[in-house]
Amino acid sequence: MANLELFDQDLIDNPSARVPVCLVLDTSGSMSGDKIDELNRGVQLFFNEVREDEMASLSAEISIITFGGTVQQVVEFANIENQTVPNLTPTGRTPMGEAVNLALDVLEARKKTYASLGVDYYQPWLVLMTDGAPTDDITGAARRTSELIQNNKLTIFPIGIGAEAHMPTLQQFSPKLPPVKLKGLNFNEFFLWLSQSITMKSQSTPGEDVKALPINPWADLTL
Amino acid sequence: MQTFEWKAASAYVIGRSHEKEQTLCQDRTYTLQENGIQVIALADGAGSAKLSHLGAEAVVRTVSHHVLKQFSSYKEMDSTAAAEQLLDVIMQELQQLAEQLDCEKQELASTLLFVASDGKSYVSGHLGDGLIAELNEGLSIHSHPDNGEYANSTYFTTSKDALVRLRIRSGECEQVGAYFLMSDGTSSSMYRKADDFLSPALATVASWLEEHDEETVNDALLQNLNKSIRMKTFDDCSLAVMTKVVCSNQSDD
Repeated sequence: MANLELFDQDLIDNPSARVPVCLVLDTSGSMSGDKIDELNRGVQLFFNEVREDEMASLSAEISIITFGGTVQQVVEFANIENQTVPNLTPTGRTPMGEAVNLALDVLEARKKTYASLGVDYYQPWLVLMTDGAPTDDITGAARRTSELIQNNKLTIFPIGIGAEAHMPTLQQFSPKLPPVKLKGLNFNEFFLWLSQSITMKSQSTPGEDVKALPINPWADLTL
Repeated sequence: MQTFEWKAASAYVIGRSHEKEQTLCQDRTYTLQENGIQVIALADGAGSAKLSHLGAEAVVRTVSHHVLKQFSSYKEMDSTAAAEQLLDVIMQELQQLAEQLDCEKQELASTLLFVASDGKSYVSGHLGDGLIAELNEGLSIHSHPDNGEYANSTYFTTSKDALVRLRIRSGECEQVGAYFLMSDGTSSSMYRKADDFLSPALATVASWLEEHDEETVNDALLQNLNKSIRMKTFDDCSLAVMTKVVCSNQSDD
């Protein structure tokens, strides 16, 4: 059957469908000490885990927006192999609303880039982590995330860190699922879970409901 | 004067994702020829539906036999009426199967692609993702994938808007040398979305049927899907092809 063989050079290489993930991280002054150290370790682990997984590394595209004093996109969407993991430092107040608005803007822009290049993509993910309460108005940002979620255009993971995290605020961003409090400072477990979830998402096929992995390794589920 | 006939081959293989999860291949293909009419059909079972491989199998078989039998009337029918009639047939089959399996019809959801032709005319149908291509003077797309916004969204036989999403077409095809059906797994190796480009490998596959019998090409498709095409995706892969081949040279006098 030697003459009935297709060769790799005859076949087309399409880019993998992308999973755009935006981490919106609280780097305000209250995150000083162990919290920011553990968050930095968790983010580093997250990048390592995604890079090590064949499918996730081809599919995941990660951006990081921080809100501590000012709002900054410290990591822009790109191939993960070309990205540098930042060292986050805590400072200033907590402009959460502005940060979420920027995250939604960059996710929307990324989707347009994919569409213009003929690259398929999955529903964007937004991870919002805070240890406190916002110091700006979140009304507009919360309305935007709620509308997107209701229209199945966004998945949000609102995570509270420590006892001072204002969970009712996080709830405003997430009309379907309640926010979850991180168990202690188990950032590593959370980011491990996130990378595994991306792997599952990136292999999902039409009509497939991706079952969420159990969150108990990192979530504080006590009432 | 030369006369022609259709020859067809098809194959489907499990994707690496389903293999890893130890689940079943959800793609199915079917070929059927009777009375000079060739039908090829392909269905990709919905990822979330546990019995969608059985739904896909039932749909390709039922649609192939129905369209072959009703080929003349589908050729003349308005596309909306044709979609209504075909979807009725599919729903009856899925309802019956659901009762046998004691499950909901949604558990049997799949996409659907088919082409039927007597050599002069064709009838085609497409619901959901995957791709139908044809070989005329060159390769061209007969029917594009119909996805939602996201990579893992499309339309299935049991979708509430299946009727408006089922695209039935008919027309002349005397100049067409081959038709191809592929699931989205296979189209990731055969179709470049960015510039609507089809791989010349499709023409190569079509030419195999000119020189080899259908069984041999079935085997070759299976081997190539396994060895090359599924390595470029995590999804199940399937391909069906029908090629118009010279079957005799008759004297004009």
